[in-house]
Amino acid sequence: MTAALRLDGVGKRFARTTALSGVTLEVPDGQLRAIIGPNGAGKSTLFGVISGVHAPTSGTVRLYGDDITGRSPAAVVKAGMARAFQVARLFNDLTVEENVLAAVQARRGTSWTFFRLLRSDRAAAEQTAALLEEVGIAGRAATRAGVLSQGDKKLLELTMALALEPRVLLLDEPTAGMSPAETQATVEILHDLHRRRGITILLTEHDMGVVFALAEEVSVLHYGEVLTTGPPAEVRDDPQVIEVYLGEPL
Amino acid sequence: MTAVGDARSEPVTGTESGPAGPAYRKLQAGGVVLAVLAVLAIPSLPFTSGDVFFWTEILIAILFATAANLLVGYTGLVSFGQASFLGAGAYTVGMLVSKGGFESMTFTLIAAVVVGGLMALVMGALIVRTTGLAFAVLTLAFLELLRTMAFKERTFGGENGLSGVVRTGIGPIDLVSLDRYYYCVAVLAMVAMAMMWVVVSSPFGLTLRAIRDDAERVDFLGVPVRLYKLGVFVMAGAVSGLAGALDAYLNLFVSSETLSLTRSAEPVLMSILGGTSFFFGPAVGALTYEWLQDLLQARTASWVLWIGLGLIAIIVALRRGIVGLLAQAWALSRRRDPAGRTEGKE
Repeated sequence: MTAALRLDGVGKRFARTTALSGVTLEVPDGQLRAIIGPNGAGKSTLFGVISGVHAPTSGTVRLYGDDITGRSPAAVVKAGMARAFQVARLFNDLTVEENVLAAVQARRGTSWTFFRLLRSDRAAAEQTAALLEEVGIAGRAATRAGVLSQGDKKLLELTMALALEPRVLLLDEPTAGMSPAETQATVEILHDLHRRRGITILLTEHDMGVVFALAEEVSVLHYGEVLTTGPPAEVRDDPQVIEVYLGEPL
Repeated sequence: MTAVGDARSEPVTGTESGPAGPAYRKLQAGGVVLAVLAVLAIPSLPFTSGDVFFWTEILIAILFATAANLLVGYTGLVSFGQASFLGAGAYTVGMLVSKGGFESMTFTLIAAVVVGGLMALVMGALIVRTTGLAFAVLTLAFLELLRTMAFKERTFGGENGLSGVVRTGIGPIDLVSLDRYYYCVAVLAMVAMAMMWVVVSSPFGLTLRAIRDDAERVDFLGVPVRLYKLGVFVMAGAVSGLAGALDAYLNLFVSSETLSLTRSAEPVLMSILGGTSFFFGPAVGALTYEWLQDLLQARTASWVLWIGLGLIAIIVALRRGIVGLLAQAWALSRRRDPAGRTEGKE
């Protein structure tokens, strides 16, 4: 079977530094994969390369066999991938509902419709309401996104990514900046989402509790290279991983 | 405020696009009806009937400022070259009438809209990839290019401009008299305003507001941002072309003044004055600006200085413009309403 996401020898050099060198990675369809690694290991760059922010210096990125190397972020989304950012990027002056609606209509291909009132599109409104319900922020629909708590901002961004109905979802530290309670709730939401929708999820995370609760497999990134990939329990006990990242056995 | 007394109590969330809720919408609709009635009554009211020329200018300014605000307020594109399209519309009329001998206003007005839109398409295709200051400067450069061309080139009347513009009529409707022309401008402006209102209230309009907030983020929704910017740039250009044509038929004369920096800055100033985050902000701003100018011009030779100072004061004091202030006052008054009255239907 074709892998959901396949990276072959992906390298990325910035002016003087090599952020990624020869990253080869294969995420099977439907898997929830976590990428961990110390700060500066190249996680953000890796996400940037996969989502079209950076063109890789070498190597290829394939989404279900489709070569998306160097495509623009918009084209990568069209190919079936959506992402959320480490620090949630929202449309702060729009309401929570409008943020999701913008994503819903982008997916439905109605963003261009300029001679019809937004509120007359019932189907889009219903889909938006259902998504907000699914992620559990329906109560905040009329709130301006800019004034949400960090936790709700992350959830809103997750909702927007889901609205794009991606086959592969990239989440950059989905629980960063959340309180323990919010983190716990988010883990449950992600777990449910993954089980219910069966989409492939690739996430980076600093919180090992989250990683071990969610990931089916874990890849460890170190100095821009993949150190190892395996089930959480195996990776946790890998002496090499303990040495470079975890510091002490967990 | 008994008109809104029976409305359901809504949490006033105060988004930048105005406090949401049916009561606010009712208030807005009421305001629009009043404004339309006022516009239609102006030529027959005792205290305004002597100034129909001035009021026609105001309607054109409102149309032009609202078009510019599609860019400034809704998309976050600050254009200092919007007069390029005002001038394009005016010169289209000037050339067609004085050089081409076209009498049909239907034809020339449509031509002005098309030329305004096409010029915006060409210019936009070159510059929508830029943002912020670079975009503003390029719009300015384009304006200067056009102004120089109009000013130096004899074909376009050079420094004398194009005189000999005559008003005939649209179809069977005779528009020679100023009063009749005023109604023609009023109807066309209202139709164009209504169309722009639909555009900003559409899915496309929501996408524009998202672009204003964070254009790069819109890319990650799979939406080609540049095409949307180009789209709204063309719409604003087409409406500005119409405003320019109406201006030419009002003055019966076209000069490179329509392509000046002043004419370009005015709609932006008017929008900020009235409130860029409100659809009717530019209209209120245009009315205030023209009124202030008229008031000061009659009293002092240094009116430009005073209007400048006045604008700075208003803009600094009212961060969200005049309409923003009104909306805020209204929201406050509702919050203080006795609970029994607003919770009637809860």
